[in-house]
Amino acid sequence: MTTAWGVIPLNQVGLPLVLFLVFLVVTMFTAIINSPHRDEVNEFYLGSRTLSPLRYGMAMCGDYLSAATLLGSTGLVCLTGYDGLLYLVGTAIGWIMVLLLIAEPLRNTGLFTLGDTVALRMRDRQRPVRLAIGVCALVVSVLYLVAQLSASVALLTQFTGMPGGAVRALCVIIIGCLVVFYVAVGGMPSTTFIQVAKTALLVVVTVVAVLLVLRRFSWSGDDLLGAAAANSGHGDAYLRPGLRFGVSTTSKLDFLSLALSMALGVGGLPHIVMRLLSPGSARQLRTAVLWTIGLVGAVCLALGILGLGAAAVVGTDTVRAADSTGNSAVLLLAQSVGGTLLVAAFSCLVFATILSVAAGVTLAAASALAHDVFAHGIRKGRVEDRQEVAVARLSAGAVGALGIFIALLAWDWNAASLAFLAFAIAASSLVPTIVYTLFWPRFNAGGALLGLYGGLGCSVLLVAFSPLVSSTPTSLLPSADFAWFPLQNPGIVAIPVGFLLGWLGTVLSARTADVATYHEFEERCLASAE
Amino acid sequence: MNQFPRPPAHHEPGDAPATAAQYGQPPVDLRELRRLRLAFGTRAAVTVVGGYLLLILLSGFAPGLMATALWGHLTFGLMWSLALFAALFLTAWRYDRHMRTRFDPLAGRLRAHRDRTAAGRGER
Repeated sequence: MTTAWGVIPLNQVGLPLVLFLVFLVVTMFTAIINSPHRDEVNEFYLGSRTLSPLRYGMAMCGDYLSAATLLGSTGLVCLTGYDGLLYLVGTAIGWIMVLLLIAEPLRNTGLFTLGDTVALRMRDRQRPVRLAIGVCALVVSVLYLVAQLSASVALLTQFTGMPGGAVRALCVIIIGCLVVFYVAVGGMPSTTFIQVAKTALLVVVTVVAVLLVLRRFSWSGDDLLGAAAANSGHGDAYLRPGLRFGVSTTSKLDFLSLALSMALGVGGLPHIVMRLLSPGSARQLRTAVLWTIGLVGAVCLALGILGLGAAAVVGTDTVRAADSTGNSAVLLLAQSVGGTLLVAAFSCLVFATILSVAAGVTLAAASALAHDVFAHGIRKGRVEDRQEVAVARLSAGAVGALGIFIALLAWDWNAASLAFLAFAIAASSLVPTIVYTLFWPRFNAGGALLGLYGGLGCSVLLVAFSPLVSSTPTSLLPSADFAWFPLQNPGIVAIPVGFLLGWLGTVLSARTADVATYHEFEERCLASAE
Repeated sequence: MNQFPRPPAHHEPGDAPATAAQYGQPPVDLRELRRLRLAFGTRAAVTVVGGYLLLILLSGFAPGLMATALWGHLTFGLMWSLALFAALFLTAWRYDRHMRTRFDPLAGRLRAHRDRTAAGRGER
């Protein structure tokens, strides 16, 4: 990430800035007027339960598609063609697991957090299990939050060139404080509002940009592919596998590991789980997830076209010269097909994306802390509503502060790697517990604890000994070398280990299966009261 | 939730002993409901996710196959990627139809039965 100057000339910063401010004022105003009352614990965690499925779908899409996808994945498509496109396919594919296996059973048995569902199965040992879930949710969410905050630096870089230390810190702190404000003041209702607004903006801006790009190539996808290959500097290799992952067997396995995390991890991300619990009935949820799949799928296709368009119109060399990570591809493309107005719209969109995803993640982490750890883990459920809401608001501040702190330390970490790491940890610790809780009658607290802590520990351990931390110039500790695990993404090992440990813990635990509890649970899982 | 047919008469809640009324013997077999959800869900999930992982594997270890030109600049791998999007949308649509026509009516019957059982217990 070395940029000598900003992609966007300073005299054009006015329009994006005005758009940012309008977005900020409108969303903050809504956050304040919709703020849940101090004892409305339901309202704080779930927001309105009677929105239309389309709105829920837009909120889920807004929660899911992050700045890393918007800037990072389009950049990868622009720089590496075929291999970059595979990222976008994975981003969309992950939702099928959520729709088919996780969404409705989880909503039917859930209340505010994942801990509530699991506690239904393990009433007498719910405290340690809730604590374990809270810890895993917190780790995943904070990683994801740090990724969003580092993305704000990447956005700033597009305007000012590589910012100095003080400017960078200021940017991260301002964004972090805004996010904490939305969550602490507005809870779920204001988070939902930002996410819906962001998705509306996302759809409008990407559709306009795609139409402008396709018009350039006389509405022919083949011409677009041809021009992209020609201007990429790679020729036909651009449309073949290998530019990014073809280097060695290790890099191929690394991508398989990443793909596995993306395909399985979505349903374990705490902010997505929280969204799934919000709709008032299972059918509403189903329709909402269908909308989400439609929106996420369409946007991913559109981003693929934009990435190819950036290579075709702007040229890969120009993109790489502006920013070696490719983050500026989509803004450069906007500049050349739509002029200043489209650039301003895109910048505002990225800004809205950072805020909305970061707010969703912070809310999920705050509710894991307040509901699972504080209300049920520490106070054993004896807590007043207003106390819990107050703790949730405080937790939002604490999570935000932690996120800002880590983002300031780790600002030069790749935002996309951090986000994918969060996917891998979610897929190896939370997903096995969700799947076993919903579908395996024998599953018990021993399995849950071993699966959660084991999956988490395995991922963290593998990352600690991976090239992310040591042995390469881009690592956290470039001078050290203890990276015996060659892959950047631990998913391919950690996910099977997580499932295995969940099974092992159950089998080794002396307790017999509680058939009556599971029977009751399953009945609720299949057909809950509405 | 009254758009569903009432359960058959021979399963009046009064007939069943108290424990069964608590846990079930509902008009719908839970195993059937579970099968309806999981049989479709697992098969479809394995197909779509498997299709994606296979695409990644083949792109890594059989790049020549994926680079086969189909027409114009469209390669086999790109075609596969597009097909996955189509499969995603198609599966979502078919899942919705499956659940609406096969699963929801049974689940509604179970729910209605449970509500009446609860109401019956309340009267006694």
